[in-house]
Amino acid sequence: MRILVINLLRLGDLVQCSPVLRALRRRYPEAQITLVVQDVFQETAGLLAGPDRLVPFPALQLAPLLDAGGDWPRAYQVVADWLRTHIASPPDLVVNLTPDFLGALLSYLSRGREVRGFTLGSSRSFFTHPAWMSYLMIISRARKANPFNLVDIFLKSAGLDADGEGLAVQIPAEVQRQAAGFLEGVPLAPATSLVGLVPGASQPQRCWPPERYAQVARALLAARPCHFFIFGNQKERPLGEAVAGLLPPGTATLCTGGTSIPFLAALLSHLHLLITNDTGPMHLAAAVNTPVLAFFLAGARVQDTGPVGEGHLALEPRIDCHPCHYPDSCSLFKCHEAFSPEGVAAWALHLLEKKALTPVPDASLWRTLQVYHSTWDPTGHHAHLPLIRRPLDRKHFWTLVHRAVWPRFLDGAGAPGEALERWLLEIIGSHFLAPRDDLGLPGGHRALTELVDLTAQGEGLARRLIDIPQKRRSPSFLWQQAEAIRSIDPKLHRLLVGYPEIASFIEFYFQEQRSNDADTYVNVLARQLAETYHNLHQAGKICLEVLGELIRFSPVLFQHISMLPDMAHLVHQSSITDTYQLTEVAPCK
Amino acid sequence: MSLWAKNLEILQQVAPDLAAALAATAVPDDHQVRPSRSGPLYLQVGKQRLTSSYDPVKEGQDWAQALEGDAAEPLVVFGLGLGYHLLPLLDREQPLWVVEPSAAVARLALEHQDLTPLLARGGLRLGSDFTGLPRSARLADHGPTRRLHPGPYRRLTRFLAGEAGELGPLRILVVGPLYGGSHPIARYTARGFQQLGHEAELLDFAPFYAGYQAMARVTKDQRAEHHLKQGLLGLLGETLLARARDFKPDLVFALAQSPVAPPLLKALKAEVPLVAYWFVEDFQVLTYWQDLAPEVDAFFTLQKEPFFSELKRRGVMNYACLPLAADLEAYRPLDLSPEEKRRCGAALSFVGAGYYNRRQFFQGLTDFDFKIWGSEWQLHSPLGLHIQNQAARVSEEDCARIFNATRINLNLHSSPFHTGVNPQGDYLNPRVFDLAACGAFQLVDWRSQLPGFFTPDKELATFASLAEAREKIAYFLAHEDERQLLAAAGRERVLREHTYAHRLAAALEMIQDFHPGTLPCRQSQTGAVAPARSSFPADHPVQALLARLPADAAPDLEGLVNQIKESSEPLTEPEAILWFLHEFRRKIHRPGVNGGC
Repeated sequence: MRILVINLLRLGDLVQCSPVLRALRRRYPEAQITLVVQDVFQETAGLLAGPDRLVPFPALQLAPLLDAGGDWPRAYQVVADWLRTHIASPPDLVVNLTPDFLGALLSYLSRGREVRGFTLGSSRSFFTHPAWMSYLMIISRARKANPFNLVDIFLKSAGLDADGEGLAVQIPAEVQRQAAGFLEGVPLAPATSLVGLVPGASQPQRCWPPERYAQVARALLAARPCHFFIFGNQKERPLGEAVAGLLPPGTATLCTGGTSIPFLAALLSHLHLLITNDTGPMHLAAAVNTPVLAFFLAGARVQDTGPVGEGHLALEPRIDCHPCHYPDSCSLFKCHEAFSPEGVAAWALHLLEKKALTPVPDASLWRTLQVYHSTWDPTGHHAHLPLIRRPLDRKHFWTLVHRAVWPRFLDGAGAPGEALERWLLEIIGSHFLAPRDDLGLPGGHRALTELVDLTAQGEGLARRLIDIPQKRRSPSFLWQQAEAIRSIDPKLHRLLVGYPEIASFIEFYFQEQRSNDADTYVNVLARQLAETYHNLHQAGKICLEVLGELIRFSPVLFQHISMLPDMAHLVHQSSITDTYQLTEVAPCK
Repeated sequence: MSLWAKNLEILQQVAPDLAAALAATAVPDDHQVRPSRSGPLYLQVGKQRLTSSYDPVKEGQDWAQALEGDAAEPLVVFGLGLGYHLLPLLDREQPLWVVEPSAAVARLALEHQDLTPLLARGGLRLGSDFTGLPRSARLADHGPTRRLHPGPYRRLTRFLAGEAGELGPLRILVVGPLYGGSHPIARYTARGFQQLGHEAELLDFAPFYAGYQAMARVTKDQRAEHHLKQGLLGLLGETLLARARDFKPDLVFALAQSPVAPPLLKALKAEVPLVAYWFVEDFQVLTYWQDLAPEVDAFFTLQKEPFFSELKRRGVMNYACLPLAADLEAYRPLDLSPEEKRRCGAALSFVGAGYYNRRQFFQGLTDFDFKIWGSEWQLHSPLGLHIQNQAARVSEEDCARIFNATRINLNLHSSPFHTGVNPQGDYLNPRVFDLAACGAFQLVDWRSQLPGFFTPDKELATFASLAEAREKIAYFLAHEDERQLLAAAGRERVLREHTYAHRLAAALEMIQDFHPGTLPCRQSQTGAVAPARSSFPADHPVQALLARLPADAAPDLEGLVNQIKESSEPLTEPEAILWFLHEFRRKIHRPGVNGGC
């Protein structure tokens, strides 16, 4: 069996797909696995275990040919030759983890017998398979309540299961020796903690200011002997120099711009801690099991791309505008102010001193931030749990709800059951205080009820189109039905905008409407429409069901809900599952 | 008969336009003709001697003798100098052309040398006019002229080598003003570049004008108003930078009054290869050019001396005169309805703003059927009965209708300092070209640059005083045939020499001269089909895709992929590759889609 994995993304995304390669190898031990990456990242890809063959895509050669004044016929030949050389015969399975048209087109060009991920058909329409790929496509638009780490979504999009093992890279022994030799050349007192600092990031708004990095480092130096290694690429060298310039002589080594990716990974593996923005080196450190303290600023969100593995900490600002809606135009950088160097240093020491990562009471030092501890839920999906114990709020509540809903919705019978729900209830009890403010329950419940009604109506209309015999379909009948169906989508859009907590379900519905079959027959279209309405209907029902279960079984939620006049009926309902039977829910695989 | 008169007489017979242009040429003060050590005159332009100051005759003979090659081979000489080096060639049978880049030098040569054998066979070319030069001709250069005009020499070399026009489609961002007379010029400029095959985009700031005006109503405090307006202009500057970063132009071409302050120009120059500025104003009336000219890579003016001396004094090196021109889409002969003729027509019309000299001058014409169109006219004045439409602004479309409907279109260049014709007036306003482009008859005040563009009394009529204007109005009202002849000849001249495409082609040539090699050469969009086809074997599937492209579609990836997306046939591998390349290009132009690492 030949498997082709396509990942045309960047450094961090490549490291994050290492579990996919591992899981493919486990599931298909005899398969020949080929990994396609952009040539600019082939050094990183070389660290990944699993593929038998690494094929760099010639992006560096294509870019000048396709830039202004370039030579596209020549670029055509480059791609045609590359395809002929490297994908000479169709693979049995193509896994495209690149959620854009580029990856989809390349997966099409590879002529795989089965394609998982985002691809397109010969009818020229793009589509996703399995449904988790649709989820990957929509979380950038409806990410408010996403509980799943990209690592797990990659796995699910590849039709694989989360294995709860985290990231992994293989560092060549020679490079490891070089890194050890390099560190031996740095004069260090005994028991010195080796701490890495990454003050750069892909966007300036995601960079915590270098002087604050330096303040954290000075605070750590005051507490224990430390030596700092400052990482970054050549462009980030000024940031590194700014940090180093503010530290006492001999306490920092500037490694910006001079390290290869394997050497960087090797150095990271020797550190006791990496303090970093949301960057590729963060994932690399997590992959070599070095504890990470990471900052998620501007548009970065811990739940989406936080460091994977046990025992990392990720900090998020606790301000209304995070995650940033306008990451390209914000000039206020309020999120940069949310982390005080003293607060960050306290958590860094917490990791260096290997203290237990259990919830702690709120304190003025970290009033404007939340610290998340990385771990796994009982189903092997990664989780970032808040360590500063505060009243359960709307944001965290819905994230927990979605963690229960989506697997049940998309995996059907294969979805985790009671173990996950018990764990969620435990988390609500152990990591949160009783809610004080509105959790968005009345509004969310109303919106979900409306969603269920609308989709039932939509499915009914679509099925009516299928059921009415061909000869009775007059143009005016078709027009009336189309108008009636057309009136539903604006209402769904209204729910999407009004209730961000359930927006992902509706975005998913619109994403799934993009079928792989561009047939224009009314029957086919109506059947597809009926199915997508049905699926959205099921999602709404499952969500209502999960809400009911959480409320019934969580004492804090039960108490909270009983005080809400609009929601009292839920408490008194004898059996919510009678209303929304689990057995009705068909898997959306 | 003087040498000048003798030469001119021949030239008028062979090339009347060139004769008129040279007759109207004023020789600048730095062009000095003095006796050489051996007696004959020598010529010096600035610090550059164009002939030997010892023995220019012998020098010329030596130059001619040193010429090698077949005596029957057509020869093109670059540089007229004072003609000494040409005299030995004039007796030969060899086909000969001389290209002289400077009108002033050409005039001096014709004043001091008998060049009638050359002129009689139509052998003199001026500036960038390479008309009729055989591509196979041998090129010989007059060294001092080549040193003085390296750009034109390179152009001639390329022309003779058959490489003319190889400058590929450029990406040009034309920057317009918020309002004012240069706004339509900005539109025409963008269109002119497009007509030349370039990818030109107008960054139109006119939509912001309402906001700019609103600032005046916000506060009575003038300082506060100024501060607010500066803030808005700063924002517009940022807008320009943002657009430039996005559009990635090869050249930013800013028009007068566009919101570009010197600090912005500095920032802009860090982003784009070249910034040019076209100052379509009177430099003595508006002086903001002093801050801007030193900051740009090419500064174009309407006027020459003494403006050039002022620029030079301020250290500006790359400047040139770029006169206005006509936009043939906006201004053209129209078939008017009877109603339009009635509404817009008159024996005598003027379209333009009510400047001081016009208000004075036009009072002497009130006994004619005279309509005055345009803004800034006082309704309660002796001209009140002639002012149309309550002195409202005239649209471009109405302007063309008025020009077409009027028997005599009066054109008086504005002046805040004179009571009528400005005797020192030099540059031509847009109306001169607009009227000619419409094929409309115009009577225009005398301007020193006029003969360089139109032949007076053959392509338009001129006046230098109110009395002369009245006399000619009366004459031409009575002679419709002559009016029509002049008007038609004027339009012919515009079509031949004075469109924006002509002008902007010249501007790009000058920019190339100022900054050789900076403007990129690319494959032309319209000419790209052939090279694209030649890149694939005849039976390659891409050939079929190229062949199916509609005539108006760009033969680029964009055009091909638009076609591919719309097809209902199963997607083929060549189509998918082209689509892939298209997406790849979009991605490299807009990196960081997923934002993170």
